[in-house]
Amino acid sequence: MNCKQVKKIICEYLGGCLPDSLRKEVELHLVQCSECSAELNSVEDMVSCLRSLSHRSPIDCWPGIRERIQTQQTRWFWPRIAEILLRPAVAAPAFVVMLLLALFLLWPINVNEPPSRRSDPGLDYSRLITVHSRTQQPQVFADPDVILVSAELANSRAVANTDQDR
Amino acid sequence: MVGLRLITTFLAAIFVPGAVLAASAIDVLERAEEAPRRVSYRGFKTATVYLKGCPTTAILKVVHLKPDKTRTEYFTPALLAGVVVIENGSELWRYNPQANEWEPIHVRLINRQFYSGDQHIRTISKNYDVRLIGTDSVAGRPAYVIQAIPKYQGESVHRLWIDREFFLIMGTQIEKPNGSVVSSSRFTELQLNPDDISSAIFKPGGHVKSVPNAESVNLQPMKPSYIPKGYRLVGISHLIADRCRSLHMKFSNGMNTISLFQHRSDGKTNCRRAEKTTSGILTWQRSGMQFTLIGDLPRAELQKIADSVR
Repeated sequence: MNCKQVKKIICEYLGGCLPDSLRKEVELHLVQCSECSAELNSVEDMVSCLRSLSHRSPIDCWPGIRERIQTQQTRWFWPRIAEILLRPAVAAPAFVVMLLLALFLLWPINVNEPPSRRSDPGLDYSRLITVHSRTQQPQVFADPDVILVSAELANSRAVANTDQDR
Repeated sequence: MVGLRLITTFLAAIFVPGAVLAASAIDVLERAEEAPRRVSYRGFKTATVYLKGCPTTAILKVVHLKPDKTRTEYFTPALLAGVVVIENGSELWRYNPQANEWEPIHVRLINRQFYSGDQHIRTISKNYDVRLIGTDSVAGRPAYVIQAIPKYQGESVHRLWIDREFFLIMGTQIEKPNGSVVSSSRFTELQLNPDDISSAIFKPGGHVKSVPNAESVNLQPMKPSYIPKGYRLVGISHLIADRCRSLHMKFSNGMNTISLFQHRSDGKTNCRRAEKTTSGILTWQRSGMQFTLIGDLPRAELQKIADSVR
């Protein structure tokens, strides 16, 4: 048996777990090899040192461990969420959904509304009526004076009706 | 053989005069279209409008200096008494007697290519059956009477009285398809090519409202996807009046016209915001814009056009 083989099973030797034949071979090697003998002494010292430490039950220390785990979890919750959201597989669809939602909310929904019909006599239509009746040929066959008179009368009648309603 | 000749002669007697008269009517219209650019005139005129069967007559004085200067003064009805409208090329002024001031309206035509005289006549021929139906006398002058019967349902019948010598339009009449008169106009006095018309009367003669320099309107125009059959876009112009910049689109079927005005209603301009619906005028707001539609069309048609503006 060589040094390498002895070091490999030295813990089992100390614990008395080796069969007799193997134990005898180890003991024979230890007598001949000072280095392995020193290694054995070192391991023996360490084991006796560990045995001298105060004993604590795993049950006693568990609440402390649990508390520390919870603290860690709380501390890392939001960064963890952020990390998940920033993954491309999550972020890209989320961005598209958000964009569609924004478009839906911000789109001028009154585009398709029918024209409103509230009457307001305040607006002076004379300017528009004048332009309608006078500019941009061709309308040589539609008398501009008739157009102007007609539109002004219609406008004034609407104003008068609104006044009566009030 | 004799029978065939008789039938041919009979058919020719029926159809050829109609075709000749139709061709003549178009010739007269073509010359009438040119007349204001060739003839100066001064006269008094009446314009009668029937609203729900009730007539209102406007009396006005018109002075025209060829090719493009016109001054119109309204004496009646009370609504328009004292109002003066001056056209001088692309400049337009309207005198408001209540405020005793002239309002200038800058009209800048964006695209002239929409319109040419030939196109106009073609549009009329396409939408109306135009006939020379006889002669008459207006303001003591002989006139052709042209009738334009619409080819599309719902449009009005137009009748024109056109001077036989100078081809100036001296009278108009519009009738509904059921025969009731919608409006008419007629010169009561007329001087053709007088030599004492001063160009000074085609400028405002008093206080003129100040307006900013003409700037581009910078509007993304919205257009109607629906316009009544036979109508087409004949012009787009920018209007600047009273610090309000508008875009004006005009549609015509050759005889009747529809105007669509649009401007921003953001409160920064001086364009007053309102909504109105009356016969011939429809106003609404949409997407931060104020729209006004003016045209001698049934309410339902105006509404349909308005609904299609995008």
